[in-house]
Amino acid sequence: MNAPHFVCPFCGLLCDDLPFPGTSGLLQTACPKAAEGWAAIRATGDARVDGVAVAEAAAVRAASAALAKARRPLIGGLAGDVQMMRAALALADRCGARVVHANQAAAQRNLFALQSRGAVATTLAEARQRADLVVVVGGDVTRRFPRIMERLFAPAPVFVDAAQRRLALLGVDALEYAPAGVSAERVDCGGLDLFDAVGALRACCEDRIDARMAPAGLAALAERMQSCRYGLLLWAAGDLDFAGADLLVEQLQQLLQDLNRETRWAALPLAGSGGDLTANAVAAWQTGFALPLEFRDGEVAGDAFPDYSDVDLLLWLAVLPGLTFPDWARDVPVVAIGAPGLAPPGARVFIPAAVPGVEAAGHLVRTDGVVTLYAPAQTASAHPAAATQLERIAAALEPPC
Amino acid sequence: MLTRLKRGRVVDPANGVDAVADLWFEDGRIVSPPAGAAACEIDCTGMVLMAGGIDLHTHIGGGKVNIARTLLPEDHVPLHLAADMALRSACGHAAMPTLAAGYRYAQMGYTACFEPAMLPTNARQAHLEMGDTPIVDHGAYALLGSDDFLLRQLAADAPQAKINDYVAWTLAATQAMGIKVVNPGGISAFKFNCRAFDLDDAHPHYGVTPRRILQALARAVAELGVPHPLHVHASNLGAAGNLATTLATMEAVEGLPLHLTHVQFHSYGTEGEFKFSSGAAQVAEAVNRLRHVSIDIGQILFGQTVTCSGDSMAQHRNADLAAPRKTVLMDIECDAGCGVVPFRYRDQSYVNALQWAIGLELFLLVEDPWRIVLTTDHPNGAPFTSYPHLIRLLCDKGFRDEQFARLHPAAQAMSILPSLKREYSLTEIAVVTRAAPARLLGMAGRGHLGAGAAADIAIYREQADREAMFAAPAWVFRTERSSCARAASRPPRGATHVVRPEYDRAIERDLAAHFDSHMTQSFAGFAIGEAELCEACNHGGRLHVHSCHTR
Repeated sequence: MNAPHFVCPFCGLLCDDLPFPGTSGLLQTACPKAAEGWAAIRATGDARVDGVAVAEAAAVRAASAALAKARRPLIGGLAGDVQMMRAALALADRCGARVVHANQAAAQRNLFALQSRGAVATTLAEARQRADLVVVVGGDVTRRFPRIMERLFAPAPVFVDAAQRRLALLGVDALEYAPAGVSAERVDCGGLDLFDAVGALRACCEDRIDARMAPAGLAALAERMQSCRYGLLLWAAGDLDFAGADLLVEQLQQLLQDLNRETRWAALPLAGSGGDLTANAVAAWQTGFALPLEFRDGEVAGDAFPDYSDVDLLLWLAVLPGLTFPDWARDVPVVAIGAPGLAPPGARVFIPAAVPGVEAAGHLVRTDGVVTLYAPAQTASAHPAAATQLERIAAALEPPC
Repeated sequence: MLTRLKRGRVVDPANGVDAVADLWFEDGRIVSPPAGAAACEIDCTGMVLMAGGIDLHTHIGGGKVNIARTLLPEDHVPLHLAADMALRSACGHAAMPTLAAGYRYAQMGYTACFEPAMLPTNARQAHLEMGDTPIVDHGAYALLGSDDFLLRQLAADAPQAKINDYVAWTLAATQAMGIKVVNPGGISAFKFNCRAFDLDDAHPHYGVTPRRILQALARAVAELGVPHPLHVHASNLGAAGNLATTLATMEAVEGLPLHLTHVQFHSYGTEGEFKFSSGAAQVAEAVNRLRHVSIDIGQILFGQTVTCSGDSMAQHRNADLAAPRKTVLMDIECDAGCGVVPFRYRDQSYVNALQWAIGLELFLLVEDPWRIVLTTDHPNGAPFTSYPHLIRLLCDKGFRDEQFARLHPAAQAMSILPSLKREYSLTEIAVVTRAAPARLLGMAGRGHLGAGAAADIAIYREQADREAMFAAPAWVFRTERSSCARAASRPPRGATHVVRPEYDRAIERDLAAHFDSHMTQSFAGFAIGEAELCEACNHGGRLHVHSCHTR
């Protein structure tokens, strides 16, 4: 029997055309993000309570006891697969916990824009086969998603002449991992900041101003945007780390809506690393709400502007790498479930769990939010999946939580 | 446990029964009256017993529904559930989350629901969502007709046998119960910036017409012996004058089985001051005449909802009507697309008022209840929670007239509804909500109460007010629950229903090449395996594989 195909879980692109690093050792050259992720999850380790190695069952009991005692527990991190998120939500419901993904600040930039103005979006295959103009906005997306240009540009497209494809950079100086054979052209915004540049683009595209009033680089881009057959706006919300970034995304979406009156345009907002799209998708289908959300008194509600100052226990879930542990949680007691190499240093209780796509099979949502991949296990695991560990904690709780 | 439901009025049209009788079941199956005594007896005097309801067209799971949920946090009102059922916290209204959908369907006596538009590339998510929809059985129709593989085959004049293999492979790979086509070819045409696409228009890239797509898919479904006819969302959804397209679509398949869905949205003429009129009489006449056609209505009811459709072309056209004013459009993966447009139907809008009347006209003018299914195209016409209200409109002429009198006056003047005296009987309601959908789906053991059928039973207190009666059954039994205890530690889990016609695996070589040239995931990882479906997607739930009888 053939080895199961490898779905790389280390960024939101979920590439399934790379060899498994455990047997090939090739990942280092194929993708730096995959190499980094692979290195981060390789450490082994045991269950611990207060720094002392214990049996897993003892750590599960300690976690359960801590959760039972907490008045305002928070389930955070959430870098994992669908099954982990299902178990996390069931546990949160039982305990009246709040739930938030570590990438929430970035995710909300897209979310607030969506909830305010809607969106026009596309997926990897459509983008690859159709786009004759790609505009990267606001940051070098290839640092977070090193293979994005390869996946958009490397194979010959079906519906557009490869030679006609153009790549423009708006508010971005250069790409670290540029596509082969397509030169990236930096748009000269004439000194305007990104907000004003996008505003000028919109004004030009809607013919609200004479294009001669806008900086020449933007006027030229606007003209190309109106005349291309299928345009693509590409950004990673993680790069838009400034106040009001959701308003910028909103502007970009309105620009797309305007353009679609005459031609075809769509966005591909890159995300999904650290399981953020996976966690939000499960939260939305079970509860209706994207994260963060809150269970309280038999009700569930969105918690868009949370205040975590009263959190008295953080249950931190990370079986995938790439999360930043939040500053506000430095002094909060932590129970962690995850890959040993990803445990926050000060965790009072640590329970090891299998990495989806490597040591356990798992469902993960890809960057476009449409394609969910089933990432088969590549190796045996010394530990159960995170979902199983969460279910054990729930089973050890005395009702009511 | 052997259970006896005593002295209820059993309304079971599939078996020609409408009589006061006892109904027995054991281990999830209805049984003939046995000699022995029941371990559990429930007095059903004054109650009506029906098979569990079956919704054959309800958008309960998959990408576009999840976009709608995320788009509309304002939609999610808390649901207060029985505290003794160990249910999860849930909320929702139109863009219903999975937990709420399962609970609310069960609360109305529905026990099976079918997601009608599962995009093959999004099938995993659809099954994961349906797996998180408690209590009810579920299944889905795979959406084809704007996917590049099919369009390439048709453009190249591939033989029908190859189309059949592709359709059968799609059913197997996506674990589907049927095949749906949405605006045939139109979702793809929109990606090429085409804004309208009628039955005989040539696709801007492939040159193929919607008529050809319909014929190829209807034939494939028929030749493979898939019980459910090709499920068709016709071209020109929502457009004034689309009546002509709808009538031509019925004729286009040349007598092959065809299920026209949400036909209310496809029954519009262009008469009158506002160039928008009812085409219900013509559509109903055609349905009455053409025995190969079945329909569901897609009734609209007034209030806030959200429209979720694979028809990105039509939804782009509707974007300016969005309320609240936010729309999501997506082009999807050489496969399909979607559009999500929140909408508020108003009885003082001429168009909305007439849409309401058109749906009811269709319900009352189509003579054979076995070829018509009660739907609101949830949530597109209204949330499924409005079914009891819709049932009352069908059963109660006086109530219908009262509601009609509230409509925009110009819409009243354009409808024949007041002249239609028909009131649905309980038997007819049981047909259009259970027996007919079960038959149209080929689910032999569902939709009826004969011995051997699944013990999916809804027990309603008989009341003159049919809305009150159908809103809150006294009891609901599910196959998996053989205890008569009202509360259980956990609600039962629904099974997944699929079909799996045979096909020539040689098609997989062509598909693998297509994945290499067009797609962005490997062919090797595309198909959903049975273990993955049952263990991972559906929490260990069961699988029902329905037979296909090659014609």
